[in-house]
Amino acid sequence: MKALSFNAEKCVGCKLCHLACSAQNEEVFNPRLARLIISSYYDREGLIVEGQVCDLCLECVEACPVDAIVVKNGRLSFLEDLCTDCGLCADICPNQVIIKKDKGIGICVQCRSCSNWCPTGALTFEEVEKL
Amino acid sequence: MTYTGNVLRVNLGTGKAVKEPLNKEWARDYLGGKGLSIKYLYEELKPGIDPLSPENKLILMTGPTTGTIVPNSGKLAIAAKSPATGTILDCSIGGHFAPELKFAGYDAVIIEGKAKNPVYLFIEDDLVELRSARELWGKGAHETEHIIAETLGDVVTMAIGPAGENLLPMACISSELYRQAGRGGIGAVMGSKNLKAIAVWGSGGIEMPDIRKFSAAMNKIKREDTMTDDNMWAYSDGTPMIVDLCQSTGILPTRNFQDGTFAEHEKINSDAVKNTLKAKKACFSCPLACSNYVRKGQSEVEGPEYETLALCGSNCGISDLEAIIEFNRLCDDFCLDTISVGNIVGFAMELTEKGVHDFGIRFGDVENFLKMPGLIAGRKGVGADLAEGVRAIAEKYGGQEYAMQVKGLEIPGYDPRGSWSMGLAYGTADRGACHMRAWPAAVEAFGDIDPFTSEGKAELVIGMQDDNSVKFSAIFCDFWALSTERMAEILSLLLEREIDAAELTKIGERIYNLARLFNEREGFARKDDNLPERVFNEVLSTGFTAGKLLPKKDYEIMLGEYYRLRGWDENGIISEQKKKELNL
Amino acid sequence: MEITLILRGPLKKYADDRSIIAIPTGDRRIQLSAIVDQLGIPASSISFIQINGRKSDLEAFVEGGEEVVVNPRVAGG
Repeated sequence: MKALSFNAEKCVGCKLCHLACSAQNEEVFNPRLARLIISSYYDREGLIVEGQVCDLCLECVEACPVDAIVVKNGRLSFLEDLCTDCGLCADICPNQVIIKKDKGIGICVQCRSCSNWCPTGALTFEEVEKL
Repeated sequence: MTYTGNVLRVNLGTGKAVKEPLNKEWARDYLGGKGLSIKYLYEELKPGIDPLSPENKLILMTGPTTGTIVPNSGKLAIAAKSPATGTILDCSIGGHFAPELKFAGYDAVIIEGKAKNPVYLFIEDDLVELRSARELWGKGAHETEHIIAETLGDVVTMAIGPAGENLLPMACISSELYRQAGRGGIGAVMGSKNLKAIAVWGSGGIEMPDIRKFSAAMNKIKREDTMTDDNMWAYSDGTPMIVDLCQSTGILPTRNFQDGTFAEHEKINSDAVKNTLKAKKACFSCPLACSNYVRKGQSEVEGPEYETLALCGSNCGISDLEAIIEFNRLCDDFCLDTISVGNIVGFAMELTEKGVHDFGIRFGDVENFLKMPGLIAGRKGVGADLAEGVRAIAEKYGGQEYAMQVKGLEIPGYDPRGSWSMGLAYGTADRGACHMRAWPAAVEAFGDIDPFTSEGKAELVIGMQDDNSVKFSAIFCDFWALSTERMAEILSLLLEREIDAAELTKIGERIYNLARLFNEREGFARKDDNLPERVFNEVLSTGFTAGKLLPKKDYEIMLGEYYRLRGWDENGIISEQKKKELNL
Repeated sequence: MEITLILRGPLKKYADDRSIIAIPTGDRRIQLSAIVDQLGIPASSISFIQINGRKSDLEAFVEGGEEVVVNPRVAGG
């Protein structure tokens, strides 16, 4: 299985990944609805570049009480009709990249929109060890 | 259509903020950004107002590309009447403010009046607040941003420093520390309103039909049209590349434009900057990432851009890159336009060396050079005189022939004697000497066109001015050299109507003429479309431009042809016929 | 004899990412256009050429010992 991997050294902070993700998965240009959080900003110490991405830890799969999040063909899949809006997946995600919506949730489905857009190759898909 | 349809109008005097509908008719004719902000100012400002009075308005204007996945759409237009020149003034600032404003639900913010006490504006979607800036007033823009971030969290902020508070004609606005709306005293407009900062947070988004198909199309354009040889200089080097281009074509401002080459250019060129590079940085939606985040010794900055390396480096006889980086950082923090300050310091150096007036600084004097931003921003010591700009300094002490300014705005980093088209561009730019309305050096000094002839220059400059007018109104960043056809293709999708290149060119012409009409109304005419005497009378002495100057008669030929092609009379006044043709 | 060819900015990709290369000239004078063609750099990607720090053009000849810089197009300053 390949999961998203973030290389901070290559990131320029353009947010094209956020736009690509929300366009593909929510049909809107809204960075706050993306299923990753890439930040490039200045604090008092200097430049901070941080990225939180879905690394296929599968904790959401385990946490969901109704199996609305499953692994299918090496990628996560959200079964909207089963979702009870309990929000446990979003709370438990260690990378905080699951978004809660009015109805249901949004997860990274490894669609490659972000990595296809990233101009510097800071976002790639790498093999992860899974049982 | 990718407008929000809302404009936020804030009156700082009454403390009232209203959401009003965007003027759709004007948006159709002027698109957004530069054009639409100038239209609002033309309609809402009375002629003859004092730019530092509460009657001036500060307009932040996005465009239809803002907030979408269109590459290079992250910039914001900020416009007002200019404190430096009295002309119309539109600036362009990068970073992430523009899309955040759009996501908060606004195409534009119009700021009127003056607050009784220092305030900052906080916009969080529908919530609009004026908050006390009493604790922030007097602080640099950087400290201000850090405090606001600590107070409000994940907001995007723009702020002024002491230069804006002290109403300097070269005060700028900073955002994300190192992005500026630079020229013409735009920061002084904010300062005159007692407005210290603006912070924005937006939770919304932009929808459009077939958004997935549109995104795929934009990705293809990004790969085939944006990230190409033509534009990737921005990623590989950024603007410091231009130091060597100017050195080899003899147009690098050196010691207050006394020469066109600088012996120590290798200490301030792109290779020198790369040795200090920590990271590349991009504005919102930009794949080119032109910004260089650098550190040398104790100093760090996002920069220095070419203009700073030229005007604050070679133009001051300074080759110490660490000093230039620190000078840049100070200017960004105090919010000083480095183009203007570089000119001012260079002018002060020449006046001192010539014995005209002792400002206590000579070319190459690093120690006093580094004191200048503080003295100027604070109007302290020699800063009291220097803070008024080179035109005013010359009026007081002399040296008018080499006070390098047009209409009161100091000249950018290209010597017109080695690029006659740049001379015409400076003389006919709407906000004073500016290289952003038209940059014909790109194809002339740096290309195949003969720089030392008046022939064809008027047509060249007009084409670029009109094209850039559209570009900065739709909003595409300068550094993506996209064709008018490409702009039309993208705008057709965003605006959901068929637009072709011819219509866009007409819109560009309309915008540029409206800016001219604003200036005409303020009393500007041919006499103001002039260049400093140094350009007409003094030859350059080294390198590619040894022995060159721009003869005044050739400048007048270019200017006359420019007016003729524009449909303006010999005095530079727009004809009635042209006004009718453009619906002005 | 050889010349030093410097490819600025993105143009180094035409020399396997090397921005400075030595080009042998043998005993002859070589026209710059020939050198540029051989590297596969499209003329449209070039703004102008410098020889020993001064603007020149592709028609110029070099014979060895010169430093030649090939500059990319630049949109804005």
